[in-house]
Amino acid sequence: MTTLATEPALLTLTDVSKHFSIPSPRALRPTERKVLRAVDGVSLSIAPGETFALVGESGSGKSTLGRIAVRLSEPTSGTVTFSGQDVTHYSGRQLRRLRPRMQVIFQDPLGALNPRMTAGKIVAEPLQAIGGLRGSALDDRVDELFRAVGLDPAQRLARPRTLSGGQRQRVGIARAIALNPDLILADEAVSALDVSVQAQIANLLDELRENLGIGYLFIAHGLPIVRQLAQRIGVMYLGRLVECGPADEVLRNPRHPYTRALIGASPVARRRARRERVVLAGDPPNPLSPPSGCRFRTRCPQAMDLCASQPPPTVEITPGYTAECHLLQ
Amino acid sequence: MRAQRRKGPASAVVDGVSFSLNRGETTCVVGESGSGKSVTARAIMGLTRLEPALSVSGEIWFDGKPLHQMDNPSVARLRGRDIAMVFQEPMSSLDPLFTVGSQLTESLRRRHGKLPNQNLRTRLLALLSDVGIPDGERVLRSRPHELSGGMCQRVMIAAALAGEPDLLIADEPTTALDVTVQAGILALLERIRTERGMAVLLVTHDMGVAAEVADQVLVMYSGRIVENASADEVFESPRHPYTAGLLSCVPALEGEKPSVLPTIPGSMPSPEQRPPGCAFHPRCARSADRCSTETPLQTQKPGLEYACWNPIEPTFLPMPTADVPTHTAQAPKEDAR
Amino acid sequence: MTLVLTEPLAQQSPRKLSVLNTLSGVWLAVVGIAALTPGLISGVDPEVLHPERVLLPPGEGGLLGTDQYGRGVYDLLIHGARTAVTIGVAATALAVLVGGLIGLLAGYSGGLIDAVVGRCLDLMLSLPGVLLALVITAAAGASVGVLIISVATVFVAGFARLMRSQVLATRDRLYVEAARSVGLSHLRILTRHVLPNAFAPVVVLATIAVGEAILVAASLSFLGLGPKLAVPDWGQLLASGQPYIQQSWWVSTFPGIALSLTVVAVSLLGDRLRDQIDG
Repeated sequence: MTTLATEPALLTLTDVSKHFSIPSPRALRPTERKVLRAVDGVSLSIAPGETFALVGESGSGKSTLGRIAVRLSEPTSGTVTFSGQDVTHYSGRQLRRLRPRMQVIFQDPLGALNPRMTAGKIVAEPLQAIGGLRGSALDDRVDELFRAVGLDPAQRLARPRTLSGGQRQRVGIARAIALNPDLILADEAVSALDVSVQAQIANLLDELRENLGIGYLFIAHGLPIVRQLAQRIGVMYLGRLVECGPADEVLRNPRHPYTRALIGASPVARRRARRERVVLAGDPPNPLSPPSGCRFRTRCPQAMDLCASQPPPTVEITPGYTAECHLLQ
Repeated sequence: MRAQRRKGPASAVVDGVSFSLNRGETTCVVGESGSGKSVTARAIMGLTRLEPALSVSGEIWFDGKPLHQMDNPSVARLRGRDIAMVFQEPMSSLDPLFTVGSQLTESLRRRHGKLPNQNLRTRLLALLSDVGIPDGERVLRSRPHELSGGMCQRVMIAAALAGEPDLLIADEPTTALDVTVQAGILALLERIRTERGMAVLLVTHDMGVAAEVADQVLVMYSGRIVENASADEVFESPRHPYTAGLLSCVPALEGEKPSVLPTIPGSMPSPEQRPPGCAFHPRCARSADRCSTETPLQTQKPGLEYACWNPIEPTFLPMPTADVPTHTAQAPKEDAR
Repeated sequence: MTLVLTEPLAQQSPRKLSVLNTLSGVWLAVVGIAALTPGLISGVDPEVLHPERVLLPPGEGGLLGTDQYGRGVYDLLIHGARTAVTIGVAATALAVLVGGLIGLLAGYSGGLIDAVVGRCLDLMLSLPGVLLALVITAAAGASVGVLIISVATVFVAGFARLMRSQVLATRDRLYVEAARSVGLSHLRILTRHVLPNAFAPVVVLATIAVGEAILVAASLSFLGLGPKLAVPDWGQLLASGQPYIQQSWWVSTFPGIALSLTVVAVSLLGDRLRDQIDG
């Protein structure tokens, strides 16, 4: 896939797939396994300092793809290139040396923080163990990080349990930016927060991107927050990237029927803007046995005979903007 | 149907909440976590009686009956029949050991007693098709884990409808679901409400969901109702700064995109740490001296109540609560499209 | 409508239980003092024999009577406490150390190592523990060191299994994944993130195990497999009074009571500790 940016991509995923083999639920036949194609042939790239949002519903494979992107998981096939290096099969020491450059912010801020450590220790740990900072240099850097994410350095001694949801997520962010990463995977990083806090954290993430030049792989299921933060959007459905392009373009003029449905179904807190609600038929199909041809055809209001027999082609709408649908040909 | 207010001490989880629900209308209780919205809904169901640490004062009138004077067995009889509830986690609300059919049968029996088998089957299938499940036969034989989240929630709604309730309380019924599935469930709730003329009390944190379905909106903050008005009033011209703030925090899908999202600084206090006066005043851009000492009274106009000493005037666009002066809380200009 | 939270969401502490806990604490304190400084509560040298005061009943022969050598049972119990406590604590500590390490490594590394270690542990747990200890002491001879090791083997597998299951649960916690994604080394993840969060139940089991270890050591002594010491430990004392149980019940009975009380007190406090850690 081509990128609009002229500079080399920070992260490139090429034809990445991840298959899990799932034991059959029938207990007497444990050898019978099914293959779950959680991610199936996805290519995308993220430019330095860019926010790339991955949206889709549960089971779309967006979290699996995110874990592959920061190499918390190894793809079954395809390649992961991080600032020019092929890191697809890195392991052990190689991988550990790579980790500081790609960090993660998790959805559940409480679960991601060790309950037996103080906020200050949590932020100091990577600086100490990997950055090699000691003494007052360490203290100063932790204070600096606390202030950078909008925390009072006096809260260094607080344990995660005593902090509010927003403060916990700020601690998680401080830990993630401690080693000056180039890429951060934000996996539903604001989804679990209250709306007023969500806006605070979203602003913080955007501010850090501008000031530190961090690129984000921002995984979310809510479109409004994605519109606010992302420069580019990838829409996933059942393991496939069905539409991928500039955020404004995709949201204003979606080409794939699924993207249209997703936008139409997103609740909007405006009475005047009350639009026609799009109700898709049925629930997402079981990812263990996806439909033939186009995976969206079972719920697509515009499905044709062709959709059942052939997988849709990837159509390039403009350079850097693609969609997978028979209707676009 | 109304819940009467009584004065409570400062540590009250829910403090002096009163409102009434009308037949055939959807009332949304919106607020952030810790606002007391869920516990209010559970109190109407009488579920708070099961928690020894909680004591409820005040009056709850349901269909002319004083629920607050009834003993536990009488309230339990109402529960699941005249008042039914749907919860956030459909998967965990259903018993994994029993089929959907047997669980729905139990709900039907609560209302109708024992039914002959043939009659029962027809009724079950009718219930399921009513909540948008066409292949009822298969679903009846399934166990909860064999169904998707959206399907489970439809089954839960069917179970709630089996008792032919006058009031359906739905506590974050779509929060655990995907947006495309959520749209279906909201449409379903709206349809059965108009068909059956019941009252629906929908608890949600999502202003978007409220904007989609509500006739009346109750905004709660730190255990108190800060604004109670028709949905049009709340979304078009919110009077309480907290309501306006909540609305402005949610990014829009259309129109101009602000470079920085408006925010409400800080976070909601717990009931023990609730500040004196208006609980919102430390986070409020419009707060005056009075706000930190006197609890604001409910200003009551027909169909419009708000608790604020310095409400936003309806003729002007609401002021943002955060320090982002360039941006307004109201919807920006309509999209050019 | 107003809803008031009338009491904080803390767990209620039944009064009766706390009385038992206090009694347990007092008893263990007495045992502890006896083990550390027996001279403080019994000035008599229990190694001196008094042939003229053989098998006197309680009252006539001091607080708890005398044994077949004329030594006071009270003094013997006080001075024998050290052996009992030393063996109990040392054997448990050894078992926690060895078992914990095995469980930690097996649970964290997973895969083949875990499978092999797991089967071995199952095998060890299927053998009657006391029998194993008996074989070791019988083969290696009687000394305090051997007794500690043999008692420890009874508990190693249990600790290893508990530790392994705890580590397996902790390993999948989000904060461990977070530590991994930060790029920390395995050693650091193990010592800073897995171990501290997996250790609490092991501590609880260890407290209870101290009581049981004292009991196992006493059983071995009772069977004559303990070290031959000038001052008998509680098990030996129990055994030595056995021939006289018909006429002089006090020689065997009081060590038995002391043992039982200690074991009960230790498990009560262990339960209490568990509640506190869980709550």
